[in-house]
Amino acid sequence: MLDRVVDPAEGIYTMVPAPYRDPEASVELIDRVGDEQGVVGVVFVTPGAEPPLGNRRYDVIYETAEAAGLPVVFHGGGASIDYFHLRGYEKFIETHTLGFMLNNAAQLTSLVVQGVPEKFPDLEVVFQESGVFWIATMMHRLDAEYLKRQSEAPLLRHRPSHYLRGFHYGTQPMEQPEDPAHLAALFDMIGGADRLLYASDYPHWDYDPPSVITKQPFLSDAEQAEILGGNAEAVFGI
Amino acid sequence: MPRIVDVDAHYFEPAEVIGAYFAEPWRTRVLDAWKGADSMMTSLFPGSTGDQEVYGRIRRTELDTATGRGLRDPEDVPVAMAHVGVDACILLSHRMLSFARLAGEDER
Repeated sequence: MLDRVVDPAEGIYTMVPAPYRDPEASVELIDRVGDEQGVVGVVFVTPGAEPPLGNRRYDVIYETAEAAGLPVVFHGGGASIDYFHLRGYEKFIETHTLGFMLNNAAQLTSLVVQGVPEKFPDLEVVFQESGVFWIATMMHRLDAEYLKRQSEAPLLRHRPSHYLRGFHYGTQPMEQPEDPAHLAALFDMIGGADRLLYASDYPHWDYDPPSVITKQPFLSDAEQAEILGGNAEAVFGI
Repeated sequence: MPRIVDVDAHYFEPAEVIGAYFAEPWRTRVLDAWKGADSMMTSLFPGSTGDQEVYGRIRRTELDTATGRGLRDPEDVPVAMAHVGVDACILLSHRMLSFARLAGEDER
């Protein structure tokens, strides 16, 4: 990628794909290429992470990314034969509905409950490729559990939803409720337009064009500009 | 129109391009697996079939994620960006994203 493709002058950037099952190798890779022109983050693919990504064995990766000023991006996946088909789900629509969202939800839960945002307060965290409605569900479900069992999350100084409102989220695949007011309410629940980053996921079959943002009647021009580019410029330093 | 930044796009470079950066014996494994195959799949890179199973409902003939057609060469990237309508993108190496999941000691 760095030798042949990445070209910041042309608007083409990339991230370090962390081989997180080997934290030392991840740290070595970030140290080696993290300051190259056009490298703007460290990406973790979320399906299959065992132990989950809040485990302290990954702290050295987060520490290194934070020190390098690189956001960590948790990228969903898991729509195919690797999990759900093997367990009897027969339709792609079923696995695609569940896989991306559940893999991200599992890693987000671990990340927050294990206190990663408290341990690395300057670390920018981004989740992507699960749409946006799952975020509010996780906020309220985690809060409800936390209020009953705070002693199991001793590093947290706030409700889990507080930390989720500090993260950023890729918009793709953006849900399309019949009533746009529902999407407007969701945006408000997760902290507003400044939490969201336009993402296409091109060239996958379900990619989103920028019109998924520009056609939303409840977004002001300023909010659209934030989601389409302004927030990404701030988070990734692009 | 504001500047549009796409924070998640994928690049499907041929496995032989990635393999050239590997140490032996993995370089040979990748390059041998690639020979004669018009596909991104090799025995080394974890893959999935799901993206292809769209049963004709969505026709996007300008690209093919099985072979990478549409976004597999550097010159494809500006064309893709213009097609989607973005000014900048964060492009992920799709195969390396999968590769980062590997746990086997012999596949490090």
